[in-house]
Amino acid sequence: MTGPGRIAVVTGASSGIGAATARALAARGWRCVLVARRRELLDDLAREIGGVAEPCDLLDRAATTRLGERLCASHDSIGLLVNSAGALSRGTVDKVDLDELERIVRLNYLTGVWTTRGLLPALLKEAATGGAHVVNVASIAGVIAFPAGGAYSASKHAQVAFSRSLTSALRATGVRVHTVLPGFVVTEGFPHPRFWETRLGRRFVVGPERVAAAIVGAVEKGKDEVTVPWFPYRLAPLAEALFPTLTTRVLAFDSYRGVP
Amino acid sequence: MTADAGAKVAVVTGASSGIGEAIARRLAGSGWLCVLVARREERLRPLAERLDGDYEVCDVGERAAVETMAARLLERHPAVDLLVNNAGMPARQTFLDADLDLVERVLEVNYLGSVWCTRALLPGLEAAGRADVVNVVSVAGAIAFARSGPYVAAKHAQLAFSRCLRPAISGRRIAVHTVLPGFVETEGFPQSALRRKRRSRWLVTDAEHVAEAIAHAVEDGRAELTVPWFPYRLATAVHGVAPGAVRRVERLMPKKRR
Repeated sequence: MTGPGRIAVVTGASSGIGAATARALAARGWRCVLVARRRELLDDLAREIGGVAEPCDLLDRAATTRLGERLCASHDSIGLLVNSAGALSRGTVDKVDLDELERIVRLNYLTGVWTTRGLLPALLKEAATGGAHVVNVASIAGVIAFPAGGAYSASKHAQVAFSRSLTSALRATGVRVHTVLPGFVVTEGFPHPRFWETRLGRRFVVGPERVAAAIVGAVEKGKDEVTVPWFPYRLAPLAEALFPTLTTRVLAFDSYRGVP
Repeated sequence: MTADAGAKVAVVTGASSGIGEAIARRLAGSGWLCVLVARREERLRPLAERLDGDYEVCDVGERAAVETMAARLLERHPAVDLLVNNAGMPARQTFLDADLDLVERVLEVNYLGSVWCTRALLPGLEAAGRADVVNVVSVAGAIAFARSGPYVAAKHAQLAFSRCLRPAISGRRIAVHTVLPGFVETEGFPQSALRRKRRSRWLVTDAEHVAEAIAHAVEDGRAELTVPWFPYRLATAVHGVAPGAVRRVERLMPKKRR
């Protein structure tokens, strides 16, 4: 990845991991197109890092498709797409509001599909001349089931499957796909106050800057899949692959309410 | 509906063919009263008559239809002893060429349909005093094959739902069983590409075998079951440890004809 002058599109860029990633990319010379709903926040960030604000409600498939067409037309080619837009949903699957359950899987999974498809022509063009990248910011909850946030975990499972499946589908084209699996990250959209305050909790929680650095690292080093922080989260999917029922039971303890 | 009044009630979705039909036959054979749920009435009615059961026409991919179906069903059968969330549809395309409407439809049928049916029938399951829910997922819920991307993503969501559901409702005396079949030859999933080549034909199993395994999973209280065990349980374990390894194997598998 050589930054200077190349275009990076970052969704969910108004706060949290998306904003931190845009800052990290701008520092490397990327010109960032910032996508999210809240225009004021995007404008501020665009001024700060010399990027472009593109307000869009990604849940509106027609609007997302139009955004893709517009970006493909206005930028000759695009070197990087970071699918970072997402939201948290807490609650067990027997009680969570069904409208919310549906909204969360659309936001965390389908909008990434729509954005990727919309920008594909520009990504393929850049891939032909030197390589392009798609980063999907999923979650450790996408590879291991968290009953305390069942709808969220299911949506992130779909997103991880999308990302991994896309990795193979795009391999021959030169577009590299990177799946990033953060553990607990404290951001505006994902406050974990109680867990964060405990002494144990602090060891497992990172800030969005750390995830942004992992995203840049995954792209620069060509890593298919990155878990951040590596410990202890990389161990969890191993446990679930071998002992799925036991793992879910441990995470379903009444006292445990956290969702990464 | 002519089955004896004391029979236990099983609701089977996607019961008009394939694994669903095989499960319904297996359960009816051991004395269950099966309520068959699917879209095609012309298939459901004769099957329900043959099995001395009942049926409800419903597209599980539509939430309002599921809620209406459940309300009607619970009026006739206030206690549901077993729900088998089996309805599913394939999507044999990658994320590069799949129609975006299909991507949504596959998510609705394969993932949201299970959620909606479970939630809508929960009062009936609780009324039974002790009940079971079986989610028929797929090894595609644990392994991200490239060639059926939208299907794989929906099945991953359904797997997470099923695993999350188990601890969530165990306190209400409802046991959840997650079943991951390998490649099964059915009307909806003909597996013609795999069956054509000798090197992959052995991977394909039949619906009756899966139905038998599901019945045992319920009887034995198994939380999670991969069927057939070999080679799929090994594959899902390897995929959990090293997701890149499966990508390399998939490239060796026969492709469908275009």
